[in-house]
Amino acid sequence: MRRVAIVAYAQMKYTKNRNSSREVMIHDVAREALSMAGISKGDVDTVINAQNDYFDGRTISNMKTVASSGAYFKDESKIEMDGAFAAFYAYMRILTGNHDVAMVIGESMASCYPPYLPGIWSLDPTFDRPNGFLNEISAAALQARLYMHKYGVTEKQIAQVAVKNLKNANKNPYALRKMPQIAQKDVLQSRLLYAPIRELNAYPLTDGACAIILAEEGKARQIAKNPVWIAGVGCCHDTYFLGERELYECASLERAAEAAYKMAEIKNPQKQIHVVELHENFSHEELIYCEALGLCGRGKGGQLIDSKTTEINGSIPVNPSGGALSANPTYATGLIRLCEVAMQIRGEAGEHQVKHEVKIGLAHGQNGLCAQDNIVFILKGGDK
Amino acid sequence: MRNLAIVGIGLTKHVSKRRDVNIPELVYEAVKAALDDAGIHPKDLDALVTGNMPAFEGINCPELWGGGYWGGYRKPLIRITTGGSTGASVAQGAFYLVASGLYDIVLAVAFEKQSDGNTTIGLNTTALADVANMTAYGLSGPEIEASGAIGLFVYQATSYMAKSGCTIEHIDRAAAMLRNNAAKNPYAHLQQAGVTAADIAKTPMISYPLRFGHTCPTSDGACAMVLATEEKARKLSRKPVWVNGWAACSEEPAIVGLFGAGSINVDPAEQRSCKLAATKAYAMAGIKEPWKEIDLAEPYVPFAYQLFIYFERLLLCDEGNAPRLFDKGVMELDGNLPTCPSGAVVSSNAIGAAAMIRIAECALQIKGEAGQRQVTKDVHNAVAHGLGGQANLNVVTVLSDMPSRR
Amino acid sequence: MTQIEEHISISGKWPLSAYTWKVEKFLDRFTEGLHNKKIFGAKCSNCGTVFVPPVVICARCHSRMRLEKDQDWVWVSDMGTVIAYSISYLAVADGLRTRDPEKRPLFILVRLDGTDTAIFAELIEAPDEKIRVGMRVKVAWQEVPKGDLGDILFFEPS
Repeated sequence: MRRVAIVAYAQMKYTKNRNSSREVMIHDVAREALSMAGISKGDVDTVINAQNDYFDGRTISNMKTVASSGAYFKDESKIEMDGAFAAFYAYMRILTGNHDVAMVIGESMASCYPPYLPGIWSLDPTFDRPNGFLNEISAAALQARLYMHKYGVTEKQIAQVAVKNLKNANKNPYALRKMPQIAQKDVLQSRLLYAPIRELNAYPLTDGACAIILAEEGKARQIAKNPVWIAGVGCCHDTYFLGERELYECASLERAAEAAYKMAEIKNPQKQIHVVELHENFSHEELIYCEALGLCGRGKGGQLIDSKTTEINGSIPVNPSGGALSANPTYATGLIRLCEVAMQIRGEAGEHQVKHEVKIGLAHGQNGLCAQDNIVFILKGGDK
Repeated sequence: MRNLAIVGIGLTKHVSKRRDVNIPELVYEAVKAALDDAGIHPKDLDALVTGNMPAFEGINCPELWGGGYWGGYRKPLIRITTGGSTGASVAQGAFYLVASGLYDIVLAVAFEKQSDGNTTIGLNTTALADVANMTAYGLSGPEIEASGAIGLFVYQATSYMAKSGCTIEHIDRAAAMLRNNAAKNPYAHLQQAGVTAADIAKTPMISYPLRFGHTCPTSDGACAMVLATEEKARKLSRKPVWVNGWAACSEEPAIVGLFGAGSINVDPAEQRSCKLAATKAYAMAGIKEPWKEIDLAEPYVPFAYQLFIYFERLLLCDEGNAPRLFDKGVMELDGNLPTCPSGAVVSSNAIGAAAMIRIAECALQIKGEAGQRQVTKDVHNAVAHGLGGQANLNVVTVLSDMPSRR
Repeated sequence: MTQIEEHISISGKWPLSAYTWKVEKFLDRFTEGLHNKKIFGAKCSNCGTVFVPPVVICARCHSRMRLEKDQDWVWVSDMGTVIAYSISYLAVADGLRTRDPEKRPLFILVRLDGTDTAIFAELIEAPDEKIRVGMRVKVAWQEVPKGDLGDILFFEPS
């Protein structure tokens, strides 16, 4: 099977209200990624966009980004899911041998759409939507409550996730929400959205885009002296109905991780994974995901955060970039996680670089209410 | 790259309103038919690929709601949407999933339930950002409507007519042929057996040269296909249909560019991206002379005149020659290169599904399962086409009764 | 499959007015030129493609146009060639600035000389039978152009 690597990437300073059009924003990251790779648009074989019509406010949103993403006369497609799924599709396109180099771009501008509404529009229109109760945050609130009840996880432990991530974000030049002096009490006293979810436990509405370039082995070695190999990937789609899922765990993430670990030959994630970047829209999600990924035992999320294992200088740093809690341009977030893990493996994460050597990293993306869809990538540095 | 084949096909009858089912239930009908056709159970599926145009139903990412109905429970699932070409892009997504080596049996499903929404609004939302800018700089709503509502298709038609000798009578006759084909297709929406070119010519003119009789309806419908690796396909199906070549190519949207500015797609009839995609797809399939080797074509034809344009852009004849070939009967069901035996998009248009149905029709014809509309000649190689965006994304698929010589 | 009657119908809206679309400011220079009966195009410094109306990103070479300063602007002709046309039979909305309300509007796609794009316009002073792809036309300027996109909305045979 062909080997495919991430060879270049580009992020941007994430903001609440970016002072440019969406198309120019996309163009900026596309150009920067090409520039890092030292290639031109002509060297790219296929372009995959990750955007959503209901977020962008226009149908067939990829139609007008042909010029900016560099898709002119290229084999282009659009994945209407979190950016990590678009990277997965691009990866499979290269695996077939039909394409050698792919550009993947994800973007969202929260300043352009009514907050949280696009999530409501994905609800079942017969029962859930007319109720008016379910939305991203209220669903997360139900999940948080259930998780706390099931395993005795406390609000303080959940708040500590936000403290960790927002402190990490302070060292990330791209992050939107940075709070260097943040302490647990700041989180616990922040505005209640839907109990028990507080403002600082929820992601910030963000404008941003991210681009990564994937290439098959031969081209990857020409383009980058340290390509980051995709060693394993897995994804899974769970049932829609919240009542049918055990919300205190994440079955689709467990299955996605299982597939990714199998492909990457990871038998002991706690020992073998050196850095983790999760798409956590809410603080409690990070703990649930850590359990699902096998980074700690089932129900042990609270103990995990207490043990400081997942701090930036812990043995399994989780979200050294600050994660989605620091910046969440929804359709780009999964790509940003891939980008951040690649940066860590290449030693290019600057001030938020983890101290120990990083050869293997895990990047995660999610889609749908309470992470109905999940995708896990295992990335490996070095020659293997 | 490993070989892959279509082993199961499911279609629903396209109608203007399905008030008895919601989206998950409508799509389930096609999925069930495809799974039964393949003789498999949902647990045999390794992954799903799905898509539709969400503006038409008012539901963002409907596979979140319906995926479980379609066999997607706890499976890998991805969503692909590209406008009118969605069905073909979804199918190609499934081809990539199988060809990549990661998944053996994949379900591709595309659909549209247009009666749930307002089609005009759904279409208008493609242009809102541009409209905002154009009005800010002095164009009025009605003027923008005139340029947009009349649509790029009439310009594509007149430009093509000037270059090819295609007349409005040709278009009337093309529409009549397609409507008669559709009348033999139990799944098609508009079935008008016996309609003649003269009947079509009597329908009111919308905007020269487009008559009402030349245009597509809006439909509720779904299409599902099961793709499998060669090894599994040979076990599952007596006659697998091999997907030997596929490609897509994107250019700038025609007429109105970004923010209402200029678009370098000057002539919407040129469709260079279609020629590029077709060239790549044929090369991948090992087809060197498509005009000789292709037995059947299903271009994406929502407006009757496009039968001629896309016949040419799919490299099945010299540019400008399609109307002459049509006059000779080449494209009829008993012709040498039957085109759109299904009745084409002009007879059934559930936007998300339309481009996939072109692939499904080619497969049914290759299998000899097209019933009354089965073409006379044996079909060994067929080409299917999807058109998306503002005539800017062309998606071409080449199918065969034998696996590729890769 | 038995036909079942519709059981439940729930209505909803997609409130498009709740959206914002951000657009780059790049047409000011262009509309200024129109005031003086001059049509300016944006010329990509990388590949030379000329866009009318100007664009922000050149699709061919994937580069950004520098439209704030004087670079990248070129003065193009107000004469062009008809690429395609149509005659509208359906009643188009009131308020269309058509010059002859008694006649069915004749719309064209026209490519101005020296440009690589086509623009939409109405062709006036031309009987329907005369329209041909390839016909030469020019902008039907008003005495005093307003300085907006409507100034190049009308062409006449040249």
